[in-house]
Parts: sequence; C-alpha cells; structure tokens
Amino acid sequence: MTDTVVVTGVGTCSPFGAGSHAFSAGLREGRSRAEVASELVRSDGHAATVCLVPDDALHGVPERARRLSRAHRMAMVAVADALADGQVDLDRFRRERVGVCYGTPSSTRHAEELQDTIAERGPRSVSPLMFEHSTGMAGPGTMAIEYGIAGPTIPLPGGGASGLQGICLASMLLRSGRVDLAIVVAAEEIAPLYYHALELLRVLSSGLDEPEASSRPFDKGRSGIIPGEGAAAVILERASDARERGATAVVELCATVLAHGGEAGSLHSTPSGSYRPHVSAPLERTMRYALNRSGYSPGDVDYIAACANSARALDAMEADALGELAAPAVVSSIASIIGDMGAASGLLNFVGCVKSMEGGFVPPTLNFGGHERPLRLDIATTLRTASLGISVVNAHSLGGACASTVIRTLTERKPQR
Amino acid sequence: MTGIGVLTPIGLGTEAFARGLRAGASGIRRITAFDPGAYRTQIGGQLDGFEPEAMFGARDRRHLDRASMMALTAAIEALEEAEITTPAARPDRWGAVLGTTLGGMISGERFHRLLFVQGKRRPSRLRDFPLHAATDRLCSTFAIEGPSFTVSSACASGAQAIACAFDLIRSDEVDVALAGGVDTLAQLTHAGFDSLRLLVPEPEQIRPFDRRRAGFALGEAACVLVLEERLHADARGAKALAEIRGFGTSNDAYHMAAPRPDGSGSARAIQSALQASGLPGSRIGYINAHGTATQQNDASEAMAILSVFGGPAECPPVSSTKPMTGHTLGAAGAIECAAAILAIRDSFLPPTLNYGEPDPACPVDCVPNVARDTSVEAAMSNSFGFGGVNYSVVVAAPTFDPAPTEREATL
Repeated sequence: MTDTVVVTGVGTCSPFGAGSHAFSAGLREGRSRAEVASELVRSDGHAATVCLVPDDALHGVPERARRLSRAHRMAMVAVADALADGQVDLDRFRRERVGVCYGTPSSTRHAEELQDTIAERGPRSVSPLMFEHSTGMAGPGTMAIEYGIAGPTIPLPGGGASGLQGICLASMLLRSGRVDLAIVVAAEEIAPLYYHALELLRVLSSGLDEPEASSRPFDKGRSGIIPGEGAAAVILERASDARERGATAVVELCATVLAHGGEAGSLHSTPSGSYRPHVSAPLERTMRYALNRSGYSPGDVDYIAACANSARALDAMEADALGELAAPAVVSSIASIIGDMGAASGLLNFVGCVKSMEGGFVPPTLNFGGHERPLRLDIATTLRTASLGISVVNAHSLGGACASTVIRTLTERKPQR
Repeated sequence: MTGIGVLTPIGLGTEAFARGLRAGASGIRRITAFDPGAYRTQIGGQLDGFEPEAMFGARDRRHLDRASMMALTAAIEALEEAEITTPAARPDRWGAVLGTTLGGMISGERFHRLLFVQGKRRPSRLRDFPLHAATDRLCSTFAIEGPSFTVSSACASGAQAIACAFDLIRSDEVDVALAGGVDTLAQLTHAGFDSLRLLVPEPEQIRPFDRRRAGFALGEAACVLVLEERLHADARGAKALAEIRGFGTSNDAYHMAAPRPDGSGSARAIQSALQASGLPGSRIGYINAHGTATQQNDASEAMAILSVFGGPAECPPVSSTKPMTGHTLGAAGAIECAAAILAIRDSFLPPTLNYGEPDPACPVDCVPNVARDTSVEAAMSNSFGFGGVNYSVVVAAPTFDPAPTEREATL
C-alpha cells in the first residue's frame, strides 16, 4: 500500500494579517474584510472595493525578498508561517529532496511596471532587475535561494485552481518518492492593471455603497466578485516521515482530482452570468472522483468549502454541482469574508478548511439570503460549531480548470472498503 | 510518445523542422513582429509562413492570442500524427500541460498599447492574456476534461510541462496527455534580455560552446507532443515514435539569473534523469544542450555534463539547436525534446552552428556546423531556467531494449 500524504503545517498572509491563527480567528469572527481603497479608482470614477492585506503583515519578509512584488512577499510570509506551524527544521532535510509548487499571481506590480515603462519611456529604459522580478520564477526562485531548496520548483500560473493543482502535483512528488517534503504556496496581489482587467471583463461586483455586503456567494442578488489579495502555504509530507520526525499531522490528504470543463468549461464566454446548466459537470465530477478515490461516499462528507466567489456564472455552476452531488454536508464560502483571492483563492480555501476542521467550526457565508433557484443545500449563514471529520475543498479558475480535494481529520476512522 | 506537432522558425511542421535541423538552417532574421529599431539587438526567430488567417476564422482571431493559435496548430498536427481523429471515449482520462513564459503577451501588449496611445479599451484582448489561456484553449477545442494545467518556469517551462505530463501518466491520473510549450516573440522579453545584454546583434554571432560566445537571439515556437500510456497506445494500435524514459529536475538555489559556475545544480538534474531512465551514460548517443551561447551557461553546462558522464572521451556529442531556432523560452524545452526524438528517428545529430574557436572551458564534441549521420538509440535534452530551475529529459527509440550491452556486461 502506498503511503498517505498528510498536512503538517499551514500558513497564511491574509486580510486578517500575518499567520494562520489570525486567519482562523477572522473566519470565525466572520466580518467582511471588503473596504474601499481610495488609491484604486474604477473607470466610472468610484473608488474600488477590495480586500487588502494590512502592510504590517509584511514586516517579517526576509531581506532577500524585500524588492520582490507584493504577492511574492506575501508568499514568503505564508511559507515562514507554515514552516513554523509544522515545526519544520529544513536543516534536517536533504535540500534536493524538498520541492515547491507555487501558484503564481495573475499579475504583479513589477510585470505591469515593465509594460508601462516600455509604453511610456521606450524599450531601452527596462532594467535587468525589473525584468528578473517579472518572470514566473521570481517567487519560486527567490524562495529556493532563501531556503536552499534544491528539488523540483514548479510555478503554476493557473488562477484560482492553481493552489489545488499544487496540492495534486506535490502529493504526486511525495508518493513517487521524488521528494520528502513539499511546500505548496499560492499568492495574489491587486496590481492596478489586473484590477482594471477584471473590471473590463465585467466580473466585478457592482455593489458600491456597502462594501461588506458586496461579496455574496450563492445569493440571488450577487453581481460579481470583490478582488482580494493574500497568500497561503501548506506543508505536505508522507505520513510515515511525519511520524518519524515527530510532527503533528493535522489532516490527511485523501485525494485530489483536477479536471477541465473541456468544450463547455470556459466561463469566459459568459461574463455577465448567462450560464449553461450542463457546465456543472466538471466540478461535480471532480468531487465525485475525489470521494470515490478516498473510499467515501457523498453521504460521508461533513463540510464542503465551496469556491463560489459571488460571480454570477461560477456560483450557479457550483450550486448545481453540489445539488447533483447531493451530499448532506454543510456548505460555506469564505469568499464572502475575504473576497476572491484570485490565484491564492484555492489554497486559502484549503487552509481555511483545515483550520475549520482543527477548530471544529464552519465559517459563515455572509450576505446569503437565497439562491435564484431552489437549492437543497445547507449553506451556513452564521458561524456553526461542528465536528468536521471529512471535508471537500473546491477550486475553479476562469479558463475552465477546476479541482476538488478530500481531506479528513486524523481522528476520523478510515473508510471501510 | 505517439505524435509531434511543431512550429519553429526553421520549419512549420515536424518534417520541415527535421529537414531544417539536418540542413543546419538558421531562422534568425531582422524582427518584423514589432519595430526593433530601439534595441541593441534587432534580430529574432519568427514563424515565416505561419498564417493563422488560414486556420482560424475572423471571430476566433478576435479572442485567440497568437500563442493560443500556435499551440492549437501544433496540437492538430500532433493529434493527426498520432492518428487520433475522433474525440476521446474517456475525455476525463485525457490531460493537457503546457509550459509558457508569456502566455497571451501579444494580446496584452496590444491591449496596453491601445489603452495608452488611443485610450481604447478592448476587453476581448484580455481573454487570452492569462498564462493558462493556451492550455484552456486546447481543452476546449479537443474536449479534454482531465487534469490540465500550465507551468511557467522560465526557459525550462517546456521540459517541465513534459515532465509533469509524464508524472500524470505514471501516477495513472490520465491515459493520454498533450504536453509541450509555446511562446511568442514579444517586445517585453526582447527588451528584458536586451537589458541583461544577453542578445547578440547578428545571427552568425550565436555561438554555443565557442570561445567568442556572447549570447543568443529570441525566437517564437510551439511544440505539442502526444504522450500516451504504452498499453493504451498498443491497445489502439498506435505507432510509438519514441519513449520517454524519465527525467530529472533540480534547483540551483543560487542566483536568479545565473547558474552555479561549477554546474553542480544542473549536474544533479542530469544525473537523476539518467538514473530515472535506467540507462548507463554510455547508452546515451546524443545530448541536446540548453546551450544558450552565454559565457556562463555553456561553461557550466559543459562542466555539468562532463561531471556526470565522466570526461570528454565518455561524453556523447552535445549540440545546441538555439542558433537555428533562437531561444524560444517556454517552448524551448519542448522543441528541443522533439529535436532529440527526431535525431533518434532519422539517425542524425543536429549541428551547433557558427562554431569556430574551441573553448577549453567547454571541451565537448558539439557537432560543429554540419549535421552528422549516425544512429542514436537514446538521447537527452537539457533545459535550464531563470530562478535556478533545471530539467533533463531522456528519450529513446520505441524499440529500445534497456538490457545492458555486451560492453557493460563485461565491465
């Protein structure tokens, strides 16, 4: 039998500040972090509503990373937090047996400045450092240097699904024996062009008056997403190795399934929300496959950490997928609290779920008052106390890639096959 | 490996590419994709004769970035060669992994220019801007519903994509995977590498392993391979073109833009690729080098190769095809893997162009200037990228017998 893969540490840099304890407490408190950012202006003249990471959360960034884009600095904070949480002493690992899967930000200020520089001041004004810092390896490369990580470094520019893509690849690396420790990280920052691109693609929430009411996953009154910034990190190891070094395994990774919507999968063609019902298939399939592989049935699931982000199309699709799965589980979406974290959303959702299982609570889905069609789902609208044995984490990105992970607490008994 | 599709500056399509490699053709000319007048270097490799208008309708072209169209064109060729004409019976057992550094940068640059110069907003230009767009287009066009993702490890992206797809098949996540890389020639990277002073002004100055080497030129290319689990290929009676024996990867953990001077980081990737392939170094008949023709890369790569293979006498011929195609960034690892496969298929070693003055720091047989006819049963392709990432992939003839040769047996 192949060794199982366990989570031995989690870390975040979120709108609640540095550290997964602050993140967990924030989710429990359930107060929206959406705020009006006066320095970011929409094309209609209104200030943007976003969920930002407080600047003081970035104080602990190592010297080497200070000049990196904000997303990569947030990633550094999350990774340091996760390593501390997992009591990982990297000196006790062979560095070529440590790998990194890195969900790279959709855009960074460095990359955008590079574009601006060429457009405004001409091509010869590009500086080498600016260029180095704009490549896909900027974050993973700096992390490798900082921690002396000499194993696989895999940058995944997969949008919202990239975090779970990282979880899937990392567990493949661990199961195949290629690495002994895998760090999965994902980060997103709100760079100005990225924000305007979201605006032009008409995926932003139109709710301007009440920031805290503008991210409304599953709710019939939702009009789009509230972009957020943040980073999450997860330490994965084989269960036997974790045991041997005396690490506390928080949860076990039962299965991660990646999929693509194929022909019907892209939500690009439906920014305004006209969505075709059969599109729910891929997300339902990832959940079903992941449960099958774990040896569980939908009836065993206690909690589903939804990827619904207040977008018209995605939420309708996930609501249908959950309806078809017909699991009697509690459903919640933390995007109602922290917004849509772009490339970091999948992994923040994962870490949020781990913290929920650890703390025995389900965070509330704020602003949910009813879906446009009848739903037979138990969506938590207020904080609930619950013992969560088995959970499903969902992720999706705009181009049609999606993913589901099944995790179980290590106090839960194994499924009987 | 049952299908190859390539678009390169020396040939559109696998056969044209193979002819170009054998002829030692150069695809490097003055850039026309944008006005290169302001740069120190004004040359690059472009896809002459690639006409998206002939393949894609006007409506599609409004949304599709050039990179997406290149990847789709390469995938169509690869699927044709693999004789896959109907949609998959189990679309969820198909995956797609592409490597790219720029994604839809051409659309992004156009969007940005329109916004800046004319104040026009063209959101349709943004659809394909994300790095994962070309992979998504493959999935939506060919109804692929299994694991699909994009990797972006700078110049190693294409090799990393092939390695990840290989792992997906080995882990039984998929039966078939489209894997490869794509990158266009964008102003952004040209400006960036120009600022790093890594580009040379004339095509003849791209001189891998030569003492006078001073850098490369960029190029655009796409390559998609059809990777298939052997039993799956056998069951449908498909003809295998090559076998991927294994890969190795490492990170230098040293510097963002420069390799470890002693090549120890890349040596680990090469060593572990050999180990994964189950072959002794003596069975490798050809190495397609990363060979960027920079002072640092070639010396450190030569040292890495020699340290693994034992010395100049034990080392197989090592050539760099970058003087022909240009450095195609995210596509490089994939087209160079394709070049290694074609070397095996057609029994020849692609040459290193523009080689004149040997460098004691690079004592390898680099197949100078002219292709060499010789049979190759297994080959290696190296790809190293910014941020210290190294990949090495070993491919072999489909009929390859891994049993040790007589010589090995007697040693």
